[in-house]
Amino acid sequence: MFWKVVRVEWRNLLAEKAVGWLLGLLAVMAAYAAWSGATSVDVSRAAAQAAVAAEAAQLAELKAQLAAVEAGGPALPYSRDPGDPAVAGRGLAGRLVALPPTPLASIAAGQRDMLAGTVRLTTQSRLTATPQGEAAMTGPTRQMTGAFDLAFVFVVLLPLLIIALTYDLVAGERERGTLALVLSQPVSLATFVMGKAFQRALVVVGVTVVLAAAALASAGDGLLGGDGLARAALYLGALVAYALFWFAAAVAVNARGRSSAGNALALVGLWLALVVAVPGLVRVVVEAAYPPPSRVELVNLTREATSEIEEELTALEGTHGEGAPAGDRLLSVQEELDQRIGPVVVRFREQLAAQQSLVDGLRFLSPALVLHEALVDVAGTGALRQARFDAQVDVFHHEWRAFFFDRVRAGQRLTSADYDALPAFAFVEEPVSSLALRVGGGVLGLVLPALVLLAWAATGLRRVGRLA
Amino acid sequence: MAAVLEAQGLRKEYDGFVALQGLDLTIEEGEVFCLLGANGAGKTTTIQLFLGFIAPTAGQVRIKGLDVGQHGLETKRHLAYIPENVMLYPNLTGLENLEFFTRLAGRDELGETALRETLVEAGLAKEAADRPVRTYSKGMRQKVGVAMAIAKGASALLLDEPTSGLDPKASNEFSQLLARMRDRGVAILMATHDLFHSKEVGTRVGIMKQGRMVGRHATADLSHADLERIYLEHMHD
Amino acid sequence: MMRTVALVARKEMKELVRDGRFRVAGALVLLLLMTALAFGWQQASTLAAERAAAQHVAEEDWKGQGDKNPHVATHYGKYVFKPVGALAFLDPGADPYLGVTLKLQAHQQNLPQDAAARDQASISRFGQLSAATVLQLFVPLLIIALGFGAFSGERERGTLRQVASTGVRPTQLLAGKALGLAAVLGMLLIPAAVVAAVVTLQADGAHDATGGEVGGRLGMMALAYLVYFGAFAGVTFLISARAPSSRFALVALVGFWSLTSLVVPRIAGDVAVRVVPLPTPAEFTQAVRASLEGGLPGSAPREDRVDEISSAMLDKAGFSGAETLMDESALQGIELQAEAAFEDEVYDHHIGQLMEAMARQERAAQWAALASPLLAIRTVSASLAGTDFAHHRAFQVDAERYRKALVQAMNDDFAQNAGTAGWDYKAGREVWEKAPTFEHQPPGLGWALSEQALGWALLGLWLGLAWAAAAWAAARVRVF
Repeated sequence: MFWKVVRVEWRNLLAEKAVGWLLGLLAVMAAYAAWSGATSVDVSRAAAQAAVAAEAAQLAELKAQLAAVEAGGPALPYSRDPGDPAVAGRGLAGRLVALPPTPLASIAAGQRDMLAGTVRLTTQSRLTATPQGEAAMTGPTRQMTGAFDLAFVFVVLLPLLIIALTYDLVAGERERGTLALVLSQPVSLATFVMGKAFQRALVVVGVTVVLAAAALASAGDGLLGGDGLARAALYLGALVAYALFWFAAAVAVNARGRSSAGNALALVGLWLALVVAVPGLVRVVVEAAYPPPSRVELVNLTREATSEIEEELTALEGTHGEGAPAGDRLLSVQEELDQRIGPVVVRFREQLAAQQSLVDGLRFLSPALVLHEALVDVAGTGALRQARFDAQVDVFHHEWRAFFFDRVRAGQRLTSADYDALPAFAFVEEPVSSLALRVGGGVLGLVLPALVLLAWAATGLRRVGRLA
Repeated sequence: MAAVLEAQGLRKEYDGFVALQGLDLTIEEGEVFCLLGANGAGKTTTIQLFLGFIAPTAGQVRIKGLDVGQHGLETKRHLAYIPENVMLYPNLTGLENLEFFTRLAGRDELGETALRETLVEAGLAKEAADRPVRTYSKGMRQKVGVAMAIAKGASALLLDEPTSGLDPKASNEFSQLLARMRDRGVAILMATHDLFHSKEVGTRVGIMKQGRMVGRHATADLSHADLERIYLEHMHD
Repeated sequence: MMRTVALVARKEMKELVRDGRFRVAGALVLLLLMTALAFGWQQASTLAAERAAAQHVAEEDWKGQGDKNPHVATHYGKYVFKPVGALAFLDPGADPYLGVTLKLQAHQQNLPQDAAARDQASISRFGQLSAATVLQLFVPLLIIALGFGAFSGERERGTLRQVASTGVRPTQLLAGKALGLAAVLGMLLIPAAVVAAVVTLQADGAHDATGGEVGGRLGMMALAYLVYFGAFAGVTFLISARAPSSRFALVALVGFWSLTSLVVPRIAGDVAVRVVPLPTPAEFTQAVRASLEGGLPGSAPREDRVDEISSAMLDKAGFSGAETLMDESALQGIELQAEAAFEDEVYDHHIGQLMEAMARQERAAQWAALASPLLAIRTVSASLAGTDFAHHRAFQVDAERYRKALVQAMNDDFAQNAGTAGWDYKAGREVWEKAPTFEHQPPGLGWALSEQALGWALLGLWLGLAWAAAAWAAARVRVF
């Protein structure tokens, strides 16, 4: 009977012009979002590549200069001597490390416009080394509104579309008077409603998956390599589960037997609560529980530490003159700075990690949060992947530093051959299984409430209720 | 003759208000039982109880021997229902509506031609079948309702004031349709205010008042004038 | 006439207040609003205290930097922190995305750093729950929920016929319904507004704006939101009067709301970024470096330009061609000033361009307010709260002016007092203390209003058009 309802309802669905319009609108918006996301990923990828290439060119240039000196050319002034490991490490020679975008980066902008995707590393502390900031310049207007990405289309707009297609699932029939005739046939209200809802879900989920997949296909061939397909599967799975949740919610509201306007109000209210209010409140809770440490205080702290250390430096340079600072001493100063500021930076990261893990728990309060976190996670544009990147950069930074510091301590000069042996950085992606575990948890957090809602709706639908 | 529609000691209360008190009724194949009575006398309640839309407070409703409460879906296979206003999906054509409900009723074997014929049989003009229902008059929609009953092959027909608001000609056509169904052996229960057609198509009439069946008469025994007199007498006291 | 309107208004009020939906929805909105106010207040005061403290530390740090050459002191520089406006707690606007710490130093103009949004989890992308969010997003939906049936619902119930048969003019009916809605919303929002006003004005001492200024801004903000709600009410009545059924009215209104409040702003932001692209940080740094080394594009190379400036300075001081008469350090001071002036030119050009591009983005997005009342109120509200980009820019300009003054003062001290000591000259604490201190005075209400004239105009346009259309529709409303 269920399948019969699904089958015979087709014509009813097709007779509703609004359905075509709404799905068309969804398609247009998804297409724009996909295009917009893809182009902005391309832009930032190109920028990162250009910057990395420029840095490589700079290193090649230094190597050439050094080679010229080694070949008997005139010595360069101390402050521009690529052979002095202290000087070179302090700023002349740097390594630009970049967090590569995942194949799915275009689906969710996440924190991409906030966080540093590229970092220039020298032997200096990571904090003091980059005073101009690392994050891309997007302009406050866009940052404040957020990007028009697929995550927005699916998290925020898709439920509204589902609501528009389902708010009068039962109430519409009741108000038109057709429900009585339907129920005089050998079909139960529950079967009829579930069949109708399922058929609409089939259409919406079908269209959504096609759109989402089309967006992926346009994202390029990166998809086929590495964990691209696994990520794509997680993305589509989370999306389907989210749509399922909203259909279940619509069925549950319909089962209460109100008027269609009442249903629409209830569903829009639910949407407002779950998509806007709860995430806002969760954010309040998260920030109250783990307030981010003050960058403002960090600025003063850094300054205090640097100025003390700089005083020591000037004293050193004053006694030794321009040409010969005690490299050793310089290193200790830099290390000391790191030791002083390091714990504060660690606190920042810990606090952010604590925030994120609280969000991980609280996300289950709102399906919108679940899907958003899942999409950002799959797209690799969130704080988690960034934290992973930061941690790897830290390790690499030690390695980079050690390369120069070892030579400073040993009193060796850098040779042009050393420039070929500089440590290189490659980001190691999280194993896809742990990503799947997180996203899978989220999917469960969508499917379970959906099932509970459906079960509850089924008990409500057992009674026939008002017919007109 | 087998009993198709049966009610035994049927009672329905809504929050202390008694809508129906102790109704006993048996309608057999080829019988048309007309329920007469003022608004609120319990006619619609009786029909809804047969449909299983509401559950009885006490007593039993059976269709072809099956209890409606226990075999809700099964009993509906035998039933057709025509409300005061047959409401159809306005954007679908008459044929599409008929097809929809017939498929829901489980008669998948009926093809388009058969359905078209049914519509014609129910008295709908041939060319009307492909127009959207939103252009239909009430009489046309009632005919689609009858067509649904025919197509379903229902053995019992429940009608709730099906002719109220129809013009005399349409009303007459409708009665003829019912007479044809009756002659085919369908058991019909009809709530109505139309004394004239009750006498014409009905085999029996029952007069209801405040949830009680206060009089039962075989129409063969009565003239039109008798029926009207009896009805008014019941209404007066 | 007025009696009829009042009668209708009273009846509407009674109906709405007795409606369970309103009571639940109203209570929830009020609860959210109060939560947002409390949280916003707590956050804003923490931030304000933090920055005030940090500014104090920075001033002390400057004063306690020890004896050194005054020019070297400007290399050492000084941090300034963007103060938190008294109304930022109502509407954080763009503030979380704008830098707050700015290092002022010689030879270099920096951009404010450390935007709060940097240290937030990705959940922040759902937007902050501020009083402004509640007013901008939730209240219009409440208006829709209360008003979608104003005409269509009465028609369905058949009461519209009855009302019309009494000879009430449609416009009177509309006015009455609007008043009733306003009264009911007022019951919710006026208490919240009073709380916000009292809290703000009470605590004004903690902030750096004068009381009258804050009061004026608060008043204008109330007016702006009134206009915004009015516009939404107008659209609601318009659609309710034209819709064939109240269910259609509701769906159409929710559709209107989601398009104008969700879709249009995002698309506008996205398009603005494409229309007015910003350089990447690397490109920007590169462009500045190139200009510093080779001179501004279309202008003389560095050395020539610096010579030009310094001889102009000498001319002005009346020392033309008579450098030999000046002592060495005075000349060095002039030289430094000329260098600084050149660098200022370069930075003023590049940073000015960058700021202008951001402002152009803002304006480009703002025109989308023609299709979205939310965008209109958002810009106006943030402007009144002092949290929009224009106010940020004013801070930056102010800080830059101060930076120049500070560098100038230090270089002047070098020129006047160094004497023969030259670079060995060292100034001490009293010089640092004499140096100007930074105190950012946020621009006044008049400035904010004229800066956002477009936003106000668009907001007014929405109100006017919505009500003209609503009156037109009400006059032609079908009663059957």
